Amino acid sequence: MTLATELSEALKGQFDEHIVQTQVVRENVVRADLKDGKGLLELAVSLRDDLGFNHASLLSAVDFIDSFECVYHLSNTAKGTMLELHVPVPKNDPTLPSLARVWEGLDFHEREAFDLMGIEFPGHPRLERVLLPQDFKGHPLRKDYIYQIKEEVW
Amino acid sequence: MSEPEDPQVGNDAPASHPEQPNQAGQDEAPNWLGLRSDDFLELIDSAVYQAADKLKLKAIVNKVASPIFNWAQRYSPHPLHFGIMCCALEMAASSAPDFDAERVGVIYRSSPRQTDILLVNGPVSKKLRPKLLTLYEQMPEPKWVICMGECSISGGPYWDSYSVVPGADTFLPVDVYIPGCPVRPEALLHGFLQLQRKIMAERKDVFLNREGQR
Repeated sequence: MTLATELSEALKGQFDEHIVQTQVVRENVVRADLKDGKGLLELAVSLRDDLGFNHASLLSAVDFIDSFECVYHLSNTAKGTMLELHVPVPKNDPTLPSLARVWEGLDFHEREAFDLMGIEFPGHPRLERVLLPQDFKGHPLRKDYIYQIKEEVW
Repeated sequence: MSEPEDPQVGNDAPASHPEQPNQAGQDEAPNWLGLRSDDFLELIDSAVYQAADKLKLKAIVNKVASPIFNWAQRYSPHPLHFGIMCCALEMAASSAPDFDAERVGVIYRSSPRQTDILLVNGPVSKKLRPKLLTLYEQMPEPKWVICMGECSISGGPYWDSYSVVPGADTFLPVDVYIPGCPVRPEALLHGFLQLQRKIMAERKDVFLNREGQR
């Protein structure tokens, strides 16, 4: 029994009400799909405290045209396992609870997702634009964003 | 304090309001101190200019001194050590022993106060633009701007991006454009030599006439 199958079964047993399905992607990497982002904060705290996922490597946001999806890559540096957490986000209300209090490193990732994809993270300490100027209009990595070239006057 | 009360007080008014003389004194700027370096420079420059003008020395001094100043300016180009993207690696390679930009006098300085060339070597994003303009304004006169690489000339591959300014010449007065993606170190040296030619062509007056400038 490898570490990945152990982790997959532990996830199934512990968080049955949140997780739709788990899947062993490759050696030491497990993918888990969540129902929605409602119980994400409690899930994250218990993932960190009980299962030892002490490091959040990545947060990425995907735009399927009728909905969004956020993917968290969490790693357990003691065992060397990684968990992909796929969280669906509805298009009409793109909000997820902020996990910046759980893993400090997600602070800037969440700001970037807010900046470029327009996903709101209530509970974030300082949710404002990172890569673009503060007065920028719109979220440019969305598929329905239309860019118009403007001549600058100086 | 209201206006009609003042005549009733009469002669005691200055004594009862000791703030008033101080406020009147603060309104006049203390010019007599002469501690502002701008005023001091203007005084000296205008004195020298008028003296040279009266003694008819201007043409002679210009003929003797301006080639010397021009020579000193064009053989000591000090660019700002400011790297934006991959052209910055070529900038580093050009000052390495293989190409050795220091043999034509190019020395990179880290403070804009000590430089006279702004080398824009990469795409200028909209967030970087005000900072780059601040750096340019902090440099002392005379100053020149070199655009290095396609990104700073026209935006390059990012010309239609939502976050990149299409060309540094939209907000800076550019003197030399060096095309290339990225620019070879030889091309960068060639750009510095072109700038030397440009500086040689513009021979400025040695005397500064500052009257009416400020």
